[in-house]
Amino acid sequence: MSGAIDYALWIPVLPIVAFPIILFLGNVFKGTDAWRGRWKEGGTIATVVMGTSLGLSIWLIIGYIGQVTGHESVGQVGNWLSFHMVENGNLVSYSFGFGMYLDHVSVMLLFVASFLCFLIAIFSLGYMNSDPVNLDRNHRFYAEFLLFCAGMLGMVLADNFLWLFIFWEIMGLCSYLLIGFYYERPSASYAAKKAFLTTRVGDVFLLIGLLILWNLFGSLDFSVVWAEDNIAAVDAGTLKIALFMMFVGAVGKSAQFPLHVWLPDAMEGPTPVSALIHAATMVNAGLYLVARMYPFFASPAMSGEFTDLAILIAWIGGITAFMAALIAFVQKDIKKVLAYSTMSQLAYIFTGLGAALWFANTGHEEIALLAFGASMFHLFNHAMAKGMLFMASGSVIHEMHHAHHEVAHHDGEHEGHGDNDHFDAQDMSNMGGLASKMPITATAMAVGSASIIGIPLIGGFWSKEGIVGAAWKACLTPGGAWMLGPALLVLITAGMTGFYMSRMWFMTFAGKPKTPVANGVVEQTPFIPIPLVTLTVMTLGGIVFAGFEFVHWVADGHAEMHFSHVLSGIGAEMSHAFLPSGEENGGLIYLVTMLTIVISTIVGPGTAMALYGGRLQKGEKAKPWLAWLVSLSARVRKNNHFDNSTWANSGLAESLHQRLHFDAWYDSAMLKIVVPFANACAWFDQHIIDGAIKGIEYGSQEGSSVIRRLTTGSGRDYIMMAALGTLAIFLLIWGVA
Amino acid sequence: MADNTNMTMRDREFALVAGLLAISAVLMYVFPSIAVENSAGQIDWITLPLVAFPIIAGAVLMAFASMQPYRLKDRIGQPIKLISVVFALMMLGISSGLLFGWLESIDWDISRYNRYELEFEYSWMQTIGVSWHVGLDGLSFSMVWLTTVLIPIVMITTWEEKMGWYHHPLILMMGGALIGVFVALDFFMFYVFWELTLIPMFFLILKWGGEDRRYAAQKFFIYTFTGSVVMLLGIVTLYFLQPSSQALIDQGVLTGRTFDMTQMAIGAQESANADIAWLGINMQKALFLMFLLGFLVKLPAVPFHTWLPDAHVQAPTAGSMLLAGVMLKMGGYGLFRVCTTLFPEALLEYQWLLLTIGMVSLVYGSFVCLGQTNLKRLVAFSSVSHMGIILLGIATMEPLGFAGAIFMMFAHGIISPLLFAVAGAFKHHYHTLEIGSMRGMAKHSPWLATFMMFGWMASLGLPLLAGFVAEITVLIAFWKAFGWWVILPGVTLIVTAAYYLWSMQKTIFEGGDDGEMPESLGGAPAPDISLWEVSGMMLLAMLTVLFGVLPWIFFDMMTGYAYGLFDGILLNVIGGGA
Amino acid sequence: MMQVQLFSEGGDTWLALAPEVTLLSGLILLFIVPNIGDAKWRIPLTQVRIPVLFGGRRFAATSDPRLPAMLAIATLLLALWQALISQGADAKTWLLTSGSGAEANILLKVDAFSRIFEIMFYSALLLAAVASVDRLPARRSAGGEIQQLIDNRRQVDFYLLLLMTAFGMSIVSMSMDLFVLFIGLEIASLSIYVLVAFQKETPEGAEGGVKYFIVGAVSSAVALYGISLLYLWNGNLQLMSNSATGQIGLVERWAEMDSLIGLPLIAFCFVLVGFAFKVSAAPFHFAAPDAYSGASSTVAGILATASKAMGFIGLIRVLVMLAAPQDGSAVWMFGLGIIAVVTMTWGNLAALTSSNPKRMLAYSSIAHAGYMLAALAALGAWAWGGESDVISSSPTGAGQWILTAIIFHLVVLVTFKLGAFLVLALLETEGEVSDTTPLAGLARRDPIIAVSMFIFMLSLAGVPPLAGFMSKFLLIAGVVKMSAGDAFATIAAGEGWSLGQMHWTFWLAAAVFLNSALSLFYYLRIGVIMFFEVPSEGRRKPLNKAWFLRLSIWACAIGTVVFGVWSDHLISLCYNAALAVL
Repeated sequence: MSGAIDYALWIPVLPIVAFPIILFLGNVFKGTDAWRGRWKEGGTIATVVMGTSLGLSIWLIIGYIGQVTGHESVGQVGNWLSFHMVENGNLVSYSFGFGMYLDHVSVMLLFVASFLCFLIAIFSLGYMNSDPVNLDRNHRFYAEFLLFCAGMLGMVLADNFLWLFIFWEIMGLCSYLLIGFYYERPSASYAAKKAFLTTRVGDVFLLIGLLILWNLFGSLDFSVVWAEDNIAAVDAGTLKIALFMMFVGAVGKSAQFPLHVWLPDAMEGPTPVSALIHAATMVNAGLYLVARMYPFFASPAMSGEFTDLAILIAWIGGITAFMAALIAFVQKDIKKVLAYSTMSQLAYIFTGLGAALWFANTGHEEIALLAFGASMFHLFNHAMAKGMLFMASGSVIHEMHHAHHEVAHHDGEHEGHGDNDHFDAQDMSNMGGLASKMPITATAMAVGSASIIGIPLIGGFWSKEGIVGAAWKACLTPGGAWMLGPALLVLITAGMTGFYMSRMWFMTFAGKPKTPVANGVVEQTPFIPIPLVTLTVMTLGGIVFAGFEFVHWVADGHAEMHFSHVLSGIGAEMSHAFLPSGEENGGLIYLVTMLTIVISTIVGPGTAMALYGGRLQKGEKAKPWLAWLVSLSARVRKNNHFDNSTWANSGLAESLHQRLHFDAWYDSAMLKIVVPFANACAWFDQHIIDGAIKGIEYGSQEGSSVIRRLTTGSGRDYIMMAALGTLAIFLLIWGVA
Repeated sequence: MADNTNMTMRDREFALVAGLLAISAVLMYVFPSIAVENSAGQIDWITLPLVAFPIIAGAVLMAFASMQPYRLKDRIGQPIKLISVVFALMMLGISSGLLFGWLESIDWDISRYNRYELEFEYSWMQTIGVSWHVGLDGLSFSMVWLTTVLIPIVMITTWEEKMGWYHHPLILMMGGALIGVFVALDFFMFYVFWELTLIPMFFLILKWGGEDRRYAAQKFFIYTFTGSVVMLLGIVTLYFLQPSSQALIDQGVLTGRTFDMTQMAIGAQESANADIAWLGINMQKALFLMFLLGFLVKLPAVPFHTWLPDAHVQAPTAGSMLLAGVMLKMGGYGLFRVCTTLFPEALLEYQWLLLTIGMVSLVYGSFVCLGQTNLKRLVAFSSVSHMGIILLGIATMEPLGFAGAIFMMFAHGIISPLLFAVAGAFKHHYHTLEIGSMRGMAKHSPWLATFMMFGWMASLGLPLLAGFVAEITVLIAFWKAFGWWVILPGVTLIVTAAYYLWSMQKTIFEGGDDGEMPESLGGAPAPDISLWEVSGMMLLAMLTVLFGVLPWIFFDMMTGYAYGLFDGILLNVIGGGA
Repeated sequence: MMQVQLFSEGGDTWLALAPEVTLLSGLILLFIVPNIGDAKWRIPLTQVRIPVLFGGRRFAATSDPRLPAMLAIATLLLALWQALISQGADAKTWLLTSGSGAEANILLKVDAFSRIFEIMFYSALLLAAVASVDRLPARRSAGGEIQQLIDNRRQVDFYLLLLMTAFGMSIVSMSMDLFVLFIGLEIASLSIYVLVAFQKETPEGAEGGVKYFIVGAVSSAVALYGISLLYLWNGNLQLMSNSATGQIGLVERWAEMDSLIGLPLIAFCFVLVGFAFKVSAAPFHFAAPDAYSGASSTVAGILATASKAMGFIGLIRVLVMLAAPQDGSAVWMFGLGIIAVVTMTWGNLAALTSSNPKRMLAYSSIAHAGYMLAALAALGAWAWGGESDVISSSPTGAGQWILTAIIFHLVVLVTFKLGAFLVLALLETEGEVSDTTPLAGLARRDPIIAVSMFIFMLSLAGVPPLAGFMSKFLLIAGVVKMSAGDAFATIAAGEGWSLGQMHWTFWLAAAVFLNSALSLFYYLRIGVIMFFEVPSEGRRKPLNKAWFLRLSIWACAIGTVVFGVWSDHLISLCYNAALAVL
């Protein structure tokens, strides 16, 4: 335990240190064979570094899981900033320090982050380095990637909100750099700018929230601001404002409504980046922040003060979940689908957290803990699944690219690279029937989608049930009527999730290849399978984690993981999930749970099959565990295929294609209000303020020429003037005398 | 014949280098070590090594260069530049030695009101009570160190500037004059150096500047001179409002008064302790405004800022680096050294004024930035905007706010030179400053693009870079003092990000692979920056990171200063001490 | 201060008038020496020819065109040395009375005040003399009729006039009797009129000289009329009362007036006008620019420094001694204040766009006159005569302080104002300087001269750490001290003070500062032209090696810097001078 602690600081520091090194080496050795080959343009270093970080954090975590002291602050680094404030006439000394704060939430997230970052590093070795587009600029990718991971790890470990914010911002920078990785594409640089600015808006709110928080507590350390008596001492209203501000920051970071616009565009970055941003790290930062607000809600002193804020959080979650799922219906770009599903799933977690905070604030301790744990567990599952999905989609896209090159060459040069630009390797309508051509990817996709959808017994199922259940419990509890909206929304969304996720899978892997390119796809790139397989296992192993009573463990700082009696744990979870519980209106909750399972497992995927299912090409054989799925989809489609063209051409679908016009509104607000105002300011500065200065200048010049005209050059005038002057002197002196 | 010339030239260079280095060594190290110690037993490291010497050395070097026939100037240029850099490094060595306690064991973190380290006083013009009075405290020392570290970096960055044999010595003189401003504890001396800094800058802009340099140089000189002339009126008035002391008359001071800041500070402190406004509140307010005008013009703050964009756009790289890096800080320094130290009551009265001007500079400045299309103008206005934060920090009347404002001066003093180095390199290599006329720089000049990205990010207050510390500290104090007005700085943070990102999108990103070039290059391949520029910018970037990650190196010093100021006088004024 | 009757018993009294004696003997030598020739007188009835040395063919040495210059320089050097050695902190005061009878008037007073001005005059004229040594060959290159120029009799005229000016000026500085003062003034002025018109080859020279003479004559007449009225009023024109003869001096008589009488007041106004012309205060300054641009730069330099100082001596005598404010403020203060502001603003504004550097410098010297007038006006703000008053009872009265500043300014003006004109003179050696083209690119042709010129310009503008800054600074200090009055006492008593309680003369200081900021426009422009523009055609090659001229330019430059950086000694000298007056 202590041994690990001593090295814990290196977990974020290692990648930070590696960042400039890779950048420098890359700029120097760019293009040399050794650099491209053995060093993988820095990929090797990145993998080793992330591996070490992962090793260290696992060491830390293993040591940690066993012990039950709740939390501890470790590795305090003196006074980073020390200063004084005037408090009623005296100078009081304060300071900011840096240290690490470990509890079950942070170690859980630490594991997720370091584990996924490591896998993504491996994935990039295959994905980035084998793509000629990235040649000689991968060092930039790896450097920024490492800084990104450092940001996430640091944020998870930080023991106060200031450092949380610092690493938070660093992640923002890295997402900017990585989204704009293909800087020559205007769309990419635009997306990067958009992402940075949108999150910046949230960050400013967060910053103000922290300012208020500091002025309330005189510190930002978790251990201080969470101390019961400290919370009891502050004004509830102000604290609520602070929490609200911080929540807005989280909304920006986790791309929730209304600050969600940046996320889909962020797909401009290379796929590993998408995986990094959406699965492992950045979007989870917002959730982590909200989770860190839990103690304020749970404090008895604040009991009943923040219920409306909790409900707001739940609502934001519900709305975003629904909206994102809706938009995901019409997406053709495979990564876009995943992006929207990310938004939707994160929204789930927000709803769950909202419910948890609401319970905590209304004094239902144990349900609150349950909901909280469920949300955290969903975060965990979603991270694993979504990371896998993105990498799988990356693999698909990559192979499509490759195949497309092949085809183009076979067709000969007369076509040239003309269609090179038109062909979109990410468009699902160019794919189809890949189930047999890339089995590993297809499997991973299938499992991942299942986890996201919440197919019983697979990863996400356990947590999603918990969240929906919590939302409904909340709205059934007296005073929780407002939670009805979110509860309903997440319930419906469960079904929609089932639809669009399976739609994606079937469009990609089932049916006949829709293009010659799709026909030529082969699964061949090295390194890519490794993370896919690993994550598949992790996702399928969700049931085991459930068995460890993960939910309880992560929520309750003093709980312990039950490695010993996994089976009983699983049994408990099973019964908890599938059997009606005895507590009041448990029946209704049971109904809801069943309903969720039905619509998400049967209705959603069923519709998708009916629309997009289909048999593979002649002679193509998918792996057995996929074959039945494909044939099932084919059968379903044959029996009850229906025409959705009216719906697909409706106005709603159109506006869904337009992402419900949010981006358009924001852009026009920027272009119609801010930019003109700025230009007006510039004009004012140049012509009014500086104009005044120039006016003085010219004025004096004019006065000068006027005066010099008085010097006529004839002595007569001089004497005349002198005479006048004499007269004037006489008058002046007489006047005084 | 040619060989002959070369031989003689080589001898001459050698003699020059050896001789001047020897002189400098004597002046900078031997003399102080044999010089008399002050009461604290410290040796005068300031007067000769840091102030007098660079000015003299610069003058000597320039005179020497001017004596050479023109065809030999290129030959003599290298050694002269070399010597200048060596001198600058010696100065850096001394200031760092003071910082890390190699030369004197000084705890900079503890400073008290009106107490100075390395305080030395020599009689200068006894008849009117002018003395050469120098000293350092947490405030001035950070500025001095900043200057000494910037001078060599500027020299390195602009190593390839034309007419280097005048350019580098001029920068050296500039450094001496600037340090003179920061160490002066005598109003007369303060003012003399204050104006002295104008002359080298005037020549830097005039000789090495852009197309419109003639107008810019004169505007810069006259505008700032006008501002400081009003300050001089304040100085003289302050001088004669003191009682004449018999002791001074006996020493031969005809007026019986002195320009010594420390003496005046004592007076201010005494009356503050007695709860009466020194000189009477009305007089104090009048004087405060007189000084404030001089400082605001220098800072510069809206609406006295319009000389800055012109000066910056026309100034050469070295010029704008020093201008933004140190010269602007003279304004902030003066605000602390004079306005907060001597006129606390007036400061309290005019809190609203500082708040207003600072806020306008900050918000308005950032919006003007958003409306610029010229890279240097954009950076210049961003300086205006950032200087607003200093005023806000003072307006908070909190020790944290003060410390944050001083750190803002320090951080901006490191970051803005980087920005202007980038802009200057842009101008130098692409012959244009129009944003959008050169795109895809990341492809053509990866180094330049990297540093541009870095500098821009540092300037918009990215954590773990120096600027962030200043902003967060000031904002914390600001919330405590003014509450929800913090919205406006918040908006500014977004706008700042907006214009920086926009300018990067139009220069670094977007295109480049499709071979689009600015007409300014006339089809020539777009070059990357030279090794000199890279190393200069690299150093600045390293400093930015260093003080972003380990801010306490100087922040504790500033905290100590702020504490001393409040403990010494301000607490009494804002009605504390309970 | 001890007073000694001149030529009475006691050691070093011979020193008192030594400089003047030197000057006179120098004049005589200038008459004689260049005329010495090989003329012989044959004793009648014999063949014996006795050389009488007068007439005939002149020897090589005596016909050397440079001889007069050397003589003049030697004379001035000697005079300067004598003035210096008799100048000191314990400067004795000698009085020269006309005879010893009951009618004896106090005519001259030799004291620290007169000495410092003598020193200033002598050094200015010395620099001018040294500078004009190179005038000859220089003018030859300009293509004037060489014979005429070479002829050293013309040189004799020039240096005679210089020495004459010096003599008249030192009389002015010593005179304690308005009539003597007027005589000295006229001696100096008339010689200067001629000097201005000395370049008779050029039309501007003649025209400027004539104009200057006419307007000057008018003003002298006015002044003389005023003096005569004063005589009518008082019966004598001496300033101090003569205790020996019991005559009442003008000062005492003026002080005795319980209410202002018309006659002396009118007279006073006339005298004031007369001196206002000498210092070229608006609106009596019009002739000055023409004169400056007409005269050779050296002479213009003298006009701007020495002759201006002479005028100020007159003003100081009249304003400070004669019309001293008894209680409250002086009658003339308000009028003078207005004149001052008008003068400085007028000068600066006019200089702003004048392309002819000589005219520009002329206007700038008008502006400087304005600054000093402002200080003089402030001098009238308080009654610094009576014991009751705080300011004079304070160790250093504001009055003395202002006078110190004015004297200091007049002295250091020699360094940078004359220096600037000398640089123009150096440029004149290769042709007329009627616009800024000769200055263009000077930095490339001759860096050192360019740098000195820039120093002069900055000093004129009042940029530290140069003499010009120090002088302006002292002026402002005096004005502020005067307007602050006994504020410090009030403050020391714990009561507050406010800007409103300041005397209105405080705003004169503000006006001076704003004007000096305004003046920066044209001073900097010269610098820009020298360092920025490219040399014009035909002015590419290095400047003439006029070593004497360069010598005096360097002297001026060094003086400008030294008096700016370390002016302690000079300040105390000026202070003693001021004490001698009040």
